[in-house]
Amino acid sequence: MSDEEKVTPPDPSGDQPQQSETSGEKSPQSAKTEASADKPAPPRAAPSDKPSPPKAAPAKKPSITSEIAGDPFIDKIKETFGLAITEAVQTLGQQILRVNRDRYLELCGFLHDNETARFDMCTDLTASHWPERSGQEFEVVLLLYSTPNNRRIRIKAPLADGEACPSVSGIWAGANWMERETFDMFGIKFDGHPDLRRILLPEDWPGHPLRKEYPIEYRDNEWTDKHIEYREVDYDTSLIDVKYGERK
Amino acid sequence: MMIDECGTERQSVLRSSIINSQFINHQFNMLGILTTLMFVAPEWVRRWTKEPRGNAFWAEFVLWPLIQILLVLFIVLTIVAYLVYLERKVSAFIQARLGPMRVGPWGLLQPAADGLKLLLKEDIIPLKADKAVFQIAPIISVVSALVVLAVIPWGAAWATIANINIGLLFVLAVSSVGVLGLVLAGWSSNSKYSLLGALRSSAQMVSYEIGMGLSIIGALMFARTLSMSGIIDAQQADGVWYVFFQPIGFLVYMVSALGETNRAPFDLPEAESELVAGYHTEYSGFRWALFFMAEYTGMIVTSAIAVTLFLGGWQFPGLNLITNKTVFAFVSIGVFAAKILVLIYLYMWFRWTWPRYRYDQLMDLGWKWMIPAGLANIVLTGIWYVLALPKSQGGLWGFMALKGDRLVPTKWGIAYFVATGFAVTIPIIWIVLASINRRSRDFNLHAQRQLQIKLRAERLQRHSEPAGESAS
Amino acid sequence: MNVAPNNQIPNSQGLVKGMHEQEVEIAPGTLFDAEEMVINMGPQHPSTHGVLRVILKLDGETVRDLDCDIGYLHRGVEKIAEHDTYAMITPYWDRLDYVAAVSNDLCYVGGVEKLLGVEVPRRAEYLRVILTELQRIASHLLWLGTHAIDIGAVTVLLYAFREREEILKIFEDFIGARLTAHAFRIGGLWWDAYPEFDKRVRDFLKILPGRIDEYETLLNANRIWLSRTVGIGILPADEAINLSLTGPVLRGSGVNYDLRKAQPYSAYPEFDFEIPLGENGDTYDRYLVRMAEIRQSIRIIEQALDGLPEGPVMAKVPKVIKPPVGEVYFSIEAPKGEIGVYLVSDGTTKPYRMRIRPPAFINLQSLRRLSIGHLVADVVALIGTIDIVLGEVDR
Repeated sequence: MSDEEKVTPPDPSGDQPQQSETSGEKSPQSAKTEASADKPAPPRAAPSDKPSPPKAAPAKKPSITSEIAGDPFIDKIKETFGLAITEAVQTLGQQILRVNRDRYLELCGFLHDNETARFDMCTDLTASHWPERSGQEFEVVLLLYSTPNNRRIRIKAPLADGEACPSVSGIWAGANWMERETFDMFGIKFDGHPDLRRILLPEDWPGHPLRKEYPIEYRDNEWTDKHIEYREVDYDTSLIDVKYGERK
Repeated sequence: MMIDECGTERQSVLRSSIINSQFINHQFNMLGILTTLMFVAPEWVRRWTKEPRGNAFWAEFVLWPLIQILLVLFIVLTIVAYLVYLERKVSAFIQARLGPMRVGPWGLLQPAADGLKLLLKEDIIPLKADKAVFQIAPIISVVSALVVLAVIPWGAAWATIANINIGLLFVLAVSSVGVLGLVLAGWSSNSKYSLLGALRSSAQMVSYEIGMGLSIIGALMFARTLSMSGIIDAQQADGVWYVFFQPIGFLVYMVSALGETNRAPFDLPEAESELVAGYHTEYSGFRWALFFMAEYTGMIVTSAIAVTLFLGGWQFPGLNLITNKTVFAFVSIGVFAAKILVLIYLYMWFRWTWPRYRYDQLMDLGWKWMIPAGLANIVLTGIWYVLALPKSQGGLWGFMALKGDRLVPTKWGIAYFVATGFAVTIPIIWIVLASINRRSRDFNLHAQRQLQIKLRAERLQRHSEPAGESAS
Repeated sequence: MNVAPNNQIPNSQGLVKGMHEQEVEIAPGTLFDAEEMVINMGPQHPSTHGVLRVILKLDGETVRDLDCDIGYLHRGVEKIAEHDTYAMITPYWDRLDYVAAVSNDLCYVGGVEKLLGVEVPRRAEYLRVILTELQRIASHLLWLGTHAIDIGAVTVLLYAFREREEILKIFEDFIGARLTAHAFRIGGLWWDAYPEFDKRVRDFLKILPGRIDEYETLLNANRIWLSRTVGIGILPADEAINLSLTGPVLRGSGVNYDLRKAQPYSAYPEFDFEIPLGENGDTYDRYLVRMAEIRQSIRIIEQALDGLPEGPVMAKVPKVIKPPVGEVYFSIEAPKGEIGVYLVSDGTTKPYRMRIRPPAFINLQSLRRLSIGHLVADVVALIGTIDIVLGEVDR
């Protein structure tokens, strides 16, 4: 199981057995072996067209995540991108595609230009941090919307710590600030971004707040020491020896 | 011209002699000029200085003018303070609220409280400002506004400090010095917002001054004098206010006056939503109050000119029924003040109703509409005037007659001038200017017309209804 | 006063921090030697609607380049959310878009309910719709007032606040707070409507249309208002979509995208209303769209009041909220645009990751595209037309 968790969990550790139970289609272990045979560089990629026997893992409650089936458009994407699409699931009716970092930009271009489902609006771009997944610590989450078809899709691209993600701001101009914010909050660099600066925090702020190792109470740090002057105030202590609740 | 016996009767004699001598007296007479500069002192002042009649230097040229200046300054500055109060009340009533209500009954002591607060406030001069200029600028502004008060004919008889024969020219000349104060203030503050405000104000005031100068010429053709009291007397002699002869001139004047005094919708130099406060961003305390005083005094002055030139000054139908001279003088002052107040209320009404023009649109209005309209008005008025001359002087219909030494329109002449003013001049000028300006009227749309066409095509080919759309 | 850098002594590199460094270089020397002037609008400026700092590069008064410096109000809501339980997060949402707190609540609460699979009682859904639409009216009124005052029409602000006050009073009696309301709980509402609620809302709806007519009399055909808004900041539909704009800014460009129709949530499918669309995508169209939206909101509220069902207002929700493992994206049509929440649950009582999809933040990035080539006065109008609230931009 520990091996599985390292592979392609859509959600943190607890979800993995349940998901494979309900979806019952893929075996990450076999996927891993195949993928490593195909491509050595990323140690993952599960060809979802390969059915595998369901895993028998006990689950307390049913998972809300399931494999997408019978969607011609998703099938077409899988066909086009093959092994790069490591996962195509739906949760609560929302479709999620997980794609290799290498073909992430290509997939975005495909989705933007595709005639049948033109995803012309980048609704949101963010990331999430999974420190326990070694080699895929970060996950860029891209939320697309198609105004002609009124349809949403979510793209996820796993990244290793320090790895740069291709920028989609050339495809959707609206992704510009969202990528800047993701850089600001997670430290994920975006290749090809025209103006990658911090957006919400000061330029020389130490650390990236939405990483899991960043403490929640971190008010006085190097930045405040450097930029905010504390001035010692001389005051007459004889004036403040009044204790509250007492009358002189 | 000699200094006459003193008293109000003699002053009116003197006034008429001055008026009548406008175009006759070519003698360069120092005493005469001084006499016209400062009006004659009443007898009690001379008695007080114990000077003989006819040679009362201190009484005539020092004491009495000082008293007049102090009186006018006191009254006008009090009025200015209460204009601020009025502005706040008017805006409050327009905006469905109460305005100042706390200091005194209905907040009537609010101006005093404001004045005290501004006097006691810390006077902050920015570290990198040009200190000398920074301090002088508001003074220039307020002085140029206040000096003009000297020649305003506040009422009949003795209510003018100086009745000089170039009164109107003097007003225009001195009030245009005021822009210097704003420019210097913006420059010396060493702040970009102030500088932008100063640049805007200099451009705006200079442009609108031209429109203002052009708009009054039509009325001057009828008045044939530049003396402020003379203009009022001319309207009395003609028996009609010049606003009826010169509707275009009055409109152009009023719009230009709004621009000249930086009032909304032309308040760009101090547009608070763009430039924080414009040229007086860096000012605080009483220096800031000086700018405010200059602005409100400017409102009074421009309204006073409009009243003098177009609305018959202190005259009002039925005013001659008053026989008591003192009562007459006071009532005439009241009439003049009431007319000014009506115009100032208009100013306030505009300010609290309309949005603000943009800088280029303001210039557009000034240069493409106000100045051409003023020029066309001069030409057309000249033509109507020449056509109406007496037949002996080459006119067509003889709508004017010589009365004393000046031309006065007959009854038919008045009807003729009103008709030409309203029925002919306004449509002609409107059509000509509209056709000239048609191409550049909608600057914004014009600049981005290409984009719009593209947009329409785009939407046609693009959008289908979303799947979740329910027709409703 | 905010002027940076100093007029006479530019800083050593001649660069303004925060701008595109390769583009904006100020020539050394005095202000008047340089061809272009860099002016700093904000963070304390009357018309940047909060602590937005806009750095303008001007040629005369024409904007050559522009950069927004934001983050002065950054509180790290997304980080805080990872350390709070699901129920504790709701009040933070009030403080995002603090002039439309009720709408924000609906978004978050709806997201958690979707993740939990909770069915909200119909009465609660109706009351939610009423409150959210009242909030939309309040937000649009505030927008109208501030937008008009930016353009110089001061009086409209006072009028708009007069009506907004009525809405806030209704909120105060219903929810207990005027601004940061914390209106909804996960699973429904905490309180049922008070007895006079129906009458108060109806009384208000009776006077509102006349008042809107009044504003439109002041502005719609006003020559100055037209010349300040028509043709300013034209945004074609494709560009608006590409810039991820949502809300009235997008609909002003003629794109029919309103989540109440496109992906209906709450009780919206049961009401009959229209989505007003602009034609030219300029500031005037965006103004018209918002004014029409107020009228449509009135229609929705009237229908909701007429059909308000009886019943409970709170669903059965466990005391300790532990959503199943998974993730959800839920978004609603807030007054500013599409506000969304992306929740990742790891099965514990706290969300693993909460992402806010901030409409104002994303709409604000179009300011540069809109402003370049216009004058300083137009920048002010354009900031107004985008309708930002810095609490949400900075989060």
